[in-house]
Amino acid sequence: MKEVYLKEIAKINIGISITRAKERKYENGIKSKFISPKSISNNYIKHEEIEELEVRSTVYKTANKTKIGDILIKTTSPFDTVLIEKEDIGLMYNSFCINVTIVNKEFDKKYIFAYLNTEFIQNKLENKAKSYKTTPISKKDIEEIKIPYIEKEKQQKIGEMYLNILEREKKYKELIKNEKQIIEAIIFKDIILGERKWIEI
Amino acid sequence: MDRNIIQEIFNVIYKKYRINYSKKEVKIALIITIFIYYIVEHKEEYQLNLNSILEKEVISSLVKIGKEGLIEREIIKPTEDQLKLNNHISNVYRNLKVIKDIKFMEEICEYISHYQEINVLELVEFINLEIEKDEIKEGKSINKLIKKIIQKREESVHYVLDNFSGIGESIFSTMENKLVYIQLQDIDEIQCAISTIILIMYGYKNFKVINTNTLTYNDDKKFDLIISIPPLIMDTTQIKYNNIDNINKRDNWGGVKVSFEKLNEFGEFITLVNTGALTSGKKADKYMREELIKRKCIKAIIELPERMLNGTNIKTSLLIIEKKYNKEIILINLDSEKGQKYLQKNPFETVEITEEGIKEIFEILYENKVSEIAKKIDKNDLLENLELLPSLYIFQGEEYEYKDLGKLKQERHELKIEIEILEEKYEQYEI
Repeated sequence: MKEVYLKEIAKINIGISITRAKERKYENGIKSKFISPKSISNNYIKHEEIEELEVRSTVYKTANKTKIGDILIKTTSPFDTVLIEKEDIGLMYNSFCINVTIVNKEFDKKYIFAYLNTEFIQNKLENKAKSYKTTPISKKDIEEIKIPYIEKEKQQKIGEMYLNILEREKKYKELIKNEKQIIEAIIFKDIILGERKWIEI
Repeated sequence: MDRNIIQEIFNVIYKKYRINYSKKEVKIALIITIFIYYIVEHKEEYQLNLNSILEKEVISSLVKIGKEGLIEREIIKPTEDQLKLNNHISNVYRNLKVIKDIKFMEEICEYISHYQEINVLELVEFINLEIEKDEIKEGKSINKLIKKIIQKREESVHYVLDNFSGIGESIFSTMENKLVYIQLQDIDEIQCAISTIILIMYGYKNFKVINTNTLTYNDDKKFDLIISIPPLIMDTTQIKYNNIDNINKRDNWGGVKVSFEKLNEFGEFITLVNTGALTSGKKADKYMREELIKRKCIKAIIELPERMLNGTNIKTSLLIIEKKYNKEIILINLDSEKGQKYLQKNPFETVEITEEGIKEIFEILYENKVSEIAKKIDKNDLLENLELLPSLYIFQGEEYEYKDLGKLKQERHELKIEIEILEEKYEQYEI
């Protein structure tokens, strides 16, 4: 099977450092939303964890921002990835996130997204991180991931299937939460709505 | 002279002398030198015996720099207070080895001599922010809250005591009225001297700084208001409470007990305690909780989150105690999910109460506001288990929001349909 390096089929960017942005006040600063590792969890963006920081206008203009179909990878363990959707475009990301934009039309972005989430790749990244001990994985580690080439049609199906699994996973979680709430509602119904009665034992 | 300049001078000196002296030593030396300049500029007002204040070496180095009129000043019968001030300042000098280092002091003086005007308030702010930054001290927002509580009863306050004063930050940042009598007590001689310096520079006239161990000191004086922020890890082994022999070393109630006895008939006492003391099973803690509940003197307990104090993660609670009768105790829990909206992170990464939070607490305390973070408890309900921790009373169960069962079941039905559709779709993919 033919394999290609991720860097051969995609543009890979690392985010900008924001440690200073927290303390400084710029004259012509622009308020910008930042994705940080804590805002990426289980293949989704947690919108409540997106930080709003002021950055210099020049930085804002030149910095890379998320585009639809981009894949964002956390550089710290667990290496969660997220496929950027419509509502998450135009966000800046910090230096603990790597953005992958697939440019080769022979490769499907959803397929790559699924592949990066396989246990095989996740373990590989985990091992790399262990060898560095304290530092996060680098842009080079991502660039050198080998992607197996399969027919485009198959790629698309795999991608769709993976997204379907994620969607179902989310719905199952909601269902379990809802069922727990039903149990709670049954328990508390009498206490909240009815008269509270204590039984002496 | 503003804070940035002081900071700049500090940076230059500290960079050069950091092998010999600690950050704190350099800062104190710097501040005392600035204070000497301040005194020289205001010599008419203070009438001080500067010869006795300063060690000879320091004077000679100051003379070298050419600050005129310092030594030649004639002494016109110093008053008792002035002599006390002299003693305080000489204590600082005796205890600090840096002051005796002529070369070092000369250098500080040289830097300072470039700047003529000293802004006292900026200086005090610098001391508050920088000197004690690395140590346990109350967060600024707690002071704001205390200030608001004090303002409520300002008219009836004439005698104020801070019995674990440190450099006196609690007093400077909460007491606006400079005419009241202020008594500061601290076990550390240098902290006492610095607080004296700040009191003078802040314009307080009627005060007394006592270098003593608060836990054993008694001068039979009664106070209208006591602000007490004790060191949170306190050794109280040297005093014995009624019937209690086994005093734990981390016992907060030592300070509470001493302060309570110093309150006058309508006095109020605000203190920060280690939250553990409100619920622990230690004999001493339990005994004091029982005493306070029986005396019906607790007005309110505010449970604060972690990281409220610089330099420690210790969890604390603010206790408001009144000598007069309080049937109910107001419990406020800021360390809950609902209390989060009243908190914010400050640049030092510690947690602060927001302005809105301070307003909310104030309204709960004095305007009977019903709030989701507070609850009133009858003291009889507390006598049984002697637990005073607010989060034990304002708990999750009461925050349960009832959800309509029918609606939940409908949601479940819809979710199941959505999952079925997704499952069907998945089956259609054939590879």
